[in-house]
Amino acid sequence: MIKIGLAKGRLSEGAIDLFKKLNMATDVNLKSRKLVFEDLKNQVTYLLLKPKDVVTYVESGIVDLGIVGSDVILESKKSVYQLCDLDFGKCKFSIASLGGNVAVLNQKNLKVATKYPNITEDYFKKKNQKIQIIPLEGSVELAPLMGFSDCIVDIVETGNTLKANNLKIIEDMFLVSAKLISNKVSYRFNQERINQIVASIKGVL
Amino acid sequence: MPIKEWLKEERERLKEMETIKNTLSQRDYQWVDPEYLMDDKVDEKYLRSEDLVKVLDSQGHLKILRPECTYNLIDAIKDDWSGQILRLQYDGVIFERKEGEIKTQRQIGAELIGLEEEEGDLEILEIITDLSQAISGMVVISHSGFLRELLDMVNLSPEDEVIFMDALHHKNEAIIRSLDLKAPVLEACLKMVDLQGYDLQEISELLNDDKITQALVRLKTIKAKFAGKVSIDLALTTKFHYYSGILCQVFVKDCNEPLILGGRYQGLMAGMKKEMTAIGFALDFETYMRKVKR
Repeated sequence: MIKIGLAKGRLSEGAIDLFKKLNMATDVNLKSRKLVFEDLKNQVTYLLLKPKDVVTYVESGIVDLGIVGSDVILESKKSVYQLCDLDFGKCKFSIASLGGNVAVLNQKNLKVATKYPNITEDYFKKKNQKIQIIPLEGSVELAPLMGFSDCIVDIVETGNTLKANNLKIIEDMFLVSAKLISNKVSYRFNQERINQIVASIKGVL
Repeated sequence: MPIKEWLKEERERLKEMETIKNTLSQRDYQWVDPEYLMDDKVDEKYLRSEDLVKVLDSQGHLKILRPECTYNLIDAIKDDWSGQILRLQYDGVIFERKEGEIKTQRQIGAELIGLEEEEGDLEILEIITDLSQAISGMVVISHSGFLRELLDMVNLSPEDEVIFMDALHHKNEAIIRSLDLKAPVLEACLKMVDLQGYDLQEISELLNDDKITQALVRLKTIKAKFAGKVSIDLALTTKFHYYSGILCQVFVKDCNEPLILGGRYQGLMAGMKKEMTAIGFALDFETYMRKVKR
């Protein structure tokens, strides 16, 4: 039985839609409160997990495969195989400031509020720019409004939340999308089955 | 845990330990006890500073608690070694800094020093495959010379080199494509992360480099010799940077880290200004016990 961890929320909807195209996960009902679904016909168990936990479960080998956003993989710095780029959950990482003030980027000791301290640190390190990271759990848009930070680093999908808080993108960092990941050891022992799943997925993307 | 159960577990551990040690003793590997402490002068090329646990000795000198046993073992014999073949085994605890904590791991290992490269590789791989078979492990080999030459060939900045190696290791095709690699090298690297596997001959032709071809021929020969018992993964990497030939790792189901890590380490000898030929491996005993219990 192959175990697949799915990030709860919009990504799991995209993942289940994808699996249904392959005649898999036909009994998975995301509206129920169940967290574990068994697909006996295809010998797959699906687990609904918090996005951050998908990478942890995959890295530790509790599940063999996972579907999660590349933002979560990058932020976690965990060691997993990235087998396939999926065609949903697309958005981008951007830097935004109040009124779109680009000049803040040249500031010494730039204060950056973010839910993604690792990604932010790596990005500015590559630019050889020293920054002060303000790690937040949510509503990062508030930080520049309250004078807590000069800018924010966050995922942008529609840009509506930024707009509602008088923030504008001043730099796009990189694109984010859903990925199929695998545990490194599990991949070696289930290579044939996993490759079969990857090939089927690629066939319908 | 009740004392009775704890003692029973300890007896089981000892029994398993003796089984492994006997496998080595039967092949004339002599037991030695490497030093716990190392001077704080180890070249970062060989051991990564961020992984090391440092302590002050009674004279106030900074020392390193060994992150592996090979370095101290070789350091202890290098001055008196005069070309003889040495077969050594050890059993000891190693120390590593991980996620802000000190982690310890019990290792049983072997070092084969002085035996000519081809013969030495085969002897150590035979022991590894024997140990691996007992716990249904999967033996995977690579060649550090291959990766070193490939890195020279791609000619990336040190930062991009790290990204490149990471992408190879994690089969991240998108990142490899994003790096500015020349056509045949890019094609070879994409083959290396292809889930359907790859043909060594094809990679050799694409890269067209004598040292790479030599390394791949060596791997092919070993694979043929151990028919069905070893597989090749050219992107196999290790945290120790002193390897300079065959690399080997053993994986077991449901254990996330390799059970055995090993390889040829002439690079370490060169760093110690000594012409020595040596290969060895270390087995993570706690992982081994978890597997045996299951």
